[in-house]
Amino acid sequence: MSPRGQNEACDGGLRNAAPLLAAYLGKRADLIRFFAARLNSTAAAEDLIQELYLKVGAIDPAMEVRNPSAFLHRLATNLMLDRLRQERRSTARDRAWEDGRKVMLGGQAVVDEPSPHDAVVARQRLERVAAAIEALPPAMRRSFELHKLEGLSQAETAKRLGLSQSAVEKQISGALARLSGSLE
Amino acid sequence: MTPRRPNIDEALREAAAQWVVALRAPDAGEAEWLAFEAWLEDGPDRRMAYDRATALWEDIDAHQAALRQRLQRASASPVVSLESRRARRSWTAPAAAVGALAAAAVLAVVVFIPAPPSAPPPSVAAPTVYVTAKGEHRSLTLEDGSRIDLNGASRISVRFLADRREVTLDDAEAAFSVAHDTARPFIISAGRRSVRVVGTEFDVMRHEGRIAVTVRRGIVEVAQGADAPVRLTAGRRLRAEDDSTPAVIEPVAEAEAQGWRTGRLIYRQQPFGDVVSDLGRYFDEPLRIEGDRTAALRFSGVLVVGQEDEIIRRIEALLAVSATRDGGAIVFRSNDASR
Repeated sequence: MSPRGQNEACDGGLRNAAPLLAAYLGKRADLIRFFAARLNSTAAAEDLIQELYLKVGAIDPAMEVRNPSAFLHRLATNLMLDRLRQERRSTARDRAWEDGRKVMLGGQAVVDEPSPHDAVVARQRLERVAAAIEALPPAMRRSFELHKLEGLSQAETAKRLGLSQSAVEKQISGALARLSGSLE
Repeated sequence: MTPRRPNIDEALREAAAQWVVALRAPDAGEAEWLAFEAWLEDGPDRRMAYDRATALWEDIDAHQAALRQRLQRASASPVVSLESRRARRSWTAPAAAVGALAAAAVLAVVVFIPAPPSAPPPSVAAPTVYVTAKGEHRSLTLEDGSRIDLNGASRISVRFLADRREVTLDDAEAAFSVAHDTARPFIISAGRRSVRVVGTEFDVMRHEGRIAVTVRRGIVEVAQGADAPVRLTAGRRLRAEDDSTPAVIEPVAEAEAQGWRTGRLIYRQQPFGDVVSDLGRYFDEPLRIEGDRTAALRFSGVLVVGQEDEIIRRIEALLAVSATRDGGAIVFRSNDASR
C-alpha cells in the first residue's frame, strides 16, 4: 500500500483555495485507507478518491461545511455505492504466489522452472505467512482461517464456532496483530 | 525486515489490526471514519502500522487459495511436522558447528530419523511438485539458487519455509547442488530417512524403498537414530536397501557418481554382462543372464537410470535378447536359440 504522496505535494498550492478542498488534500491518504478497506482494493479506493477530487473541485468554494471530514466521507460513500452498483463482479486477483506458469503433466500440477525474482520473493512470503499462521494460538487460528481462508463472514464464523461476533472479531484482529508482528 | 523499517510496538500493532478488521465490517460508516481519522491523527506511526497490517491482510486475501492449500497439506501430515520439529531440536548443535565449517568449504549433515510406523508419505506436505516423464532429464534452479538435476520418471516436492528448505523424494533420482544457507537447512526426505545439508553437492536416489546418497563434493555426516555420526566424504556412497535396514557405506567411482548428472548409462560396444552388472545397482530384482554367449553380446545404447521396465524394453529393442521374470529374478535370454 503506498499512500501516493506526490499528488498532495503537487496540489499543495491549492490548499488555500477552499476549506473543503484543503480538507480533501489533508485527508486524501486516510480516505484511501478507509475506502480501500471497504472496497477490499487500494486501486479501487484510489480511483474513488480521484473521482471525489473532481466532485470536491466542483463544489462552490463559498459553501460552508461544518464538518469537512464527515462531509467528504459522505460524498465518497455515495461514490462508492454508485460504483458497487455499477460493477458487482469481483476482480480476480493475481496469483503470483502460485506462479503463473503452471502446467499439467500426467494429471499433476507442475510448476515450471522457478521464475523471476518477484515470484521467488512472493513464494517465500507465502511460506512465512503460512508458518506464522501455524504458530497462532489454536482458537485464534481457527477463527482467522475460517474468516480469511475459508471465506466465511464474521457472523458465519461466530455461528460456526458458537462464539459472539465481537469475540470472533477480537480473535481475527488479534491474529492479524500477531501475524504482522511475527512477519516484521 | 529491512533495517530502515522501524519497529511497531505490540499495542500499536493490535490497535492497527483492530482497525483493519473493524473498517471491513459491513456496517462501517461515518462514525467509524471519524473515529478512524482521529486515531490516525495521533501519529505517523499509526498510519504506518495500519498500512502494514492492511498490506498483510490483502496479501492473505490475494493468496487465499495457496495458503489454504499449504496449511491443509501441513495439517494432513502431522508426521512431517513432527519430524521437522524433532529435526530442528536435534540439529541445533550440529547446525552451529556447520556454520563455522561451512565458511571454509562445504559440509553437510545427514541425519536419519526413524518415523513412526504409521507414517504416511511425507510428500503430502510439499506444495511444489516437479515431475519428469520417463526418459526426461530436467534441471531445476530453486529460488535459493540450489540446483536439482532430475532423472527421468522422478517426482519430487519442494517447499521453502522460513527456517528450512524441504525436498521430498517420492520416487526419484536427483543430483543436488545446494546453495549455502546455514539459517535455512536443506532437508531432503526420502522415505523415513531425512538428509539434512547446508550446502554441498551430492546425489540422492530413492526408488522402490531403496535409498542411496552419493557425495560429490564436501563432507557429509551421517547419523542414524542415536548412533554416533559417520563421516561420508566425496566419492563415497551411502546405500540402504529399505527404510529399516542398516545403511552401507561404499566407495563409488567418479564416473559412476557422475552418472546421475546425465541420468543415463551410456554404452558403446560393451559386453552385455557388464551392462547387466551395472543395472544390478539400480534394479530391486536380481538380474540374471542365461548363457555365457548372451553375456558376451556387445551392447551399444543409452539406458535411462531409474525406469526398470523402460530399460528392459530398450535392451530388448537394441539387442537380440528377451527378458522374462523367473522366480523373482529378471532373466535375459538370447533370442537365438542356438546360443
